[in-house]
Amino acid sequence: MAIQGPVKLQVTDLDKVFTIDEGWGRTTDITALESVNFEVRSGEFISLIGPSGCGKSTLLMIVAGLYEKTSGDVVLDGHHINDTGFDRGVVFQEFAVFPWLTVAGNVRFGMRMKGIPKAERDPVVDRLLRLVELESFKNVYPYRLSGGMKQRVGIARALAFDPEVMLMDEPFGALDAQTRSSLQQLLVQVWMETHKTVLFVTHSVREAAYLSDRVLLMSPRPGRIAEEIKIDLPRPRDVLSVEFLECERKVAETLAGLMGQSDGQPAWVTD
Amino acid sequence: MASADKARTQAGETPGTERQLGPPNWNVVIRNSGKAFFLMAAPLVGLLIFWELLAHSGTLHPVLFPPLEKIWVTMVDQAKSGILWLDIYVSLYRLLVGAFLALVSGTVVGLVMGMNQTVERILAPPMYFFLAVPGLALFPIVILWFGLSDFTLISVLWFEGMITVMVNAWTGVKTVDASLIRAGRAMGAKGMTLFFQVMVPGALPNLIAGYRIAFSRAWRIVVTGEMIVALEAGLGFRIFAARDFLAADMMYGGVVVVGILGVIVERVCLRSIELATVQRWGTLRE
Repeated sequence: MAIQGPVKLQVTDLDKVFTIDEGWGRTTDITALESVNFEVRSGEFISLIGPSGCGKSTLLMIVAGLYEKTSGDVVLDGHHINDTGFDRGVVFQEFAVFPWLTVAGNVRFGMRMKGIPKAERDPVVDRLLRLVELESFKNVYPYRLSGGMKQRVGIARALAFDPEVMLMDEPFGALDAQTRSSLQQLLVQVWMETHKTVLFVTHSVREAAYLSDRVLLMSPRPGRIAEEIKIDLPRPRDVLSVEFLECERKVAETLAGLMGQSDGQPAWVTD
Repeated sequence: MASADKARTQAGETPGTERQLGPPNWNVVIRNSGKAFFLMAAPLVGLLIFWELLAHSGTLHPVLFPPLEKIWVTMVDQAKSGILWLDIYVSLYRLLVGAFLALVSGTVVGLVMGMNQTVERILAPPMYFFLAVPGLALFPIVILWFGLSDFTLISVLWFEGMITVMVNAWTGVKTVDASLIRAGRAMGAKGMTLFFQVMVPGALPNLIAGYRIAFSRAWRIVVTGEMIVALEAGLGFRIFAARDFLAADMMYGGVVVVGILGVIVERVCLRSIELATVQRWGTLRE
C-alpha cells in the first residue's frame, strides 16, 4: 500500500555543524549532518534509523524548528522552515508532558497557543483522548500516569492543533517492551485514522519495519541518508510472518553494513 | 488525609477509574488521627514537663527560670490589658507589608533575571554580595538614613526578603526542564507566552521554596529588628523591654508567641499555596 501523495516535506543539502566550546578560547567543530537529502510524501510514514550519534534526532529537531540548521533547506508545503510552527506536531522521547496541567490541559495547550476558540477545543480533546484511550484520565495530573500513558498524552497533544506532519523523536525508546508494542499498535491505528504524514526517529529495526512505508537509513557521523528501504506490506502487520521477517532482515543487514559489518556474516543488529 | 492519599497511589490503583467506596471506617480514622496527634504533641508535652520539673526543683533561680504557670498568668494579663494583641498586630503588620513587597519585587526581578541574560549579568554579582550580608548588619546604616521608624524596619525586611526570593525565582527559571521548554516552543509558545505558560509554572516549585525561606527570614528580622530599632510596640520590642524589668516570664511568653505565630504563618499560609500547586502536580511531596 505505497502512498503516492504529493511531496509534503523536502529536505535539501542539509548540513549541521555544532561548535563545541572546549574552554580557554578553543573550539571544536563537529559535523553532525552532511548534505542530507530526502523527501516525504503526503500521508507517508517514514522512519529514520541509524547508529547512535548519527544525528537522526538532530535532523528531526531541525525539521521541528527547534534547532538551527547550518546550511541547506527544509521545505514543508512550499514554506521554508526556520522556526517552530503549527504545521508540525512534535512527540519527544522524554514525554515532556507539563506536570502543572491535567491530561486535558496538556492536550488543550497547543490549541490555546494557536488561538482556537474555547468551544471548539473541548470536542477535540474528547476525541483525541478517546483515540489514545485516556478518556477516563482527563482530569488527572500527569505524575499519576505511567510512562506509556504519558506518551499517549504526548501523542494526543501533538495531534491537537491538527498539524500537517507529526515528528516523533524515539517516542517509545524510554518504555518497556510490552508498553512499546502496545503503543506501536496504537500509533498504527492513530495513523490510519488521521492520515497524518509521520517522520519517526528510532533505533529499533523492528519498530521501523513494523511502522513505516519507507525506512531511511543514516550513516555514522557525519550523518547522511545512506540507504532507503521500502516496506510494502499491508497493515496491521504480522511481525511473525515470513514477509515481515524478510523486511526486518533486510533493514538489519543494511544497517549492519553501514555500521562497518562485512558481508557474509549473520546480521547482529537486534531490536 | 495526605498520607492515605499517598498510600493509595503507591498501591498502584489507577486514578480516574470508578471506585466503589463503602462508608468511612471511623475506628481507623480515629486511631490514625489520634496517633498523628500523639506523635506531634508528645515531644512538646515532654519538653514542658521537663521545664516544669526543672523550675520547681529549686536548683535554678526562679526569676530567670519561672515555672509555666507564672508565664501563663503573665500572658493572660497581657492579653487582658490588650498589650499582647497590640504587639501581635504591630509585628504581623510589619511582617506582611515587608514580606509582600519582598515577594512581589523579588519574584519580578528574579524572573526577569532568569529570562534576560543582560539583566542576569548585571544583577547576579550584587545579588550574591547581598546574599552574603545578613540583613541585620544593614540596620545601623538604614537607621542613619531613615531614623528609628517602621520605615527602617520594613525596608530592611523588604530588602532581605527580596534577595532571597530573587535567588530562588532566578534559579527556578534556570532549572526548568529543557524538554518542557522545547515542548512549549514546538506547540507555538514564544516570548512572553512561553514565559508565562511554561517558565513560570516550571519555576514554581523553586519559587515557593523561596517564599518559605523568605518568610522565615523576614519573621526573624521583624522580631530582632524591633529590638534594635526600639519602636513603641511589637513582640520583639516587648521581649527586649522586659529585660529592663527583669521580667523573665514576659520574655518567655513573648518567645512562645513568636514561635507559635511563625509556625501558623508557615503552615497555614505557605503550606496551602504548596498544596494548591506543586503538591497537586506531584512535583513536590511532603
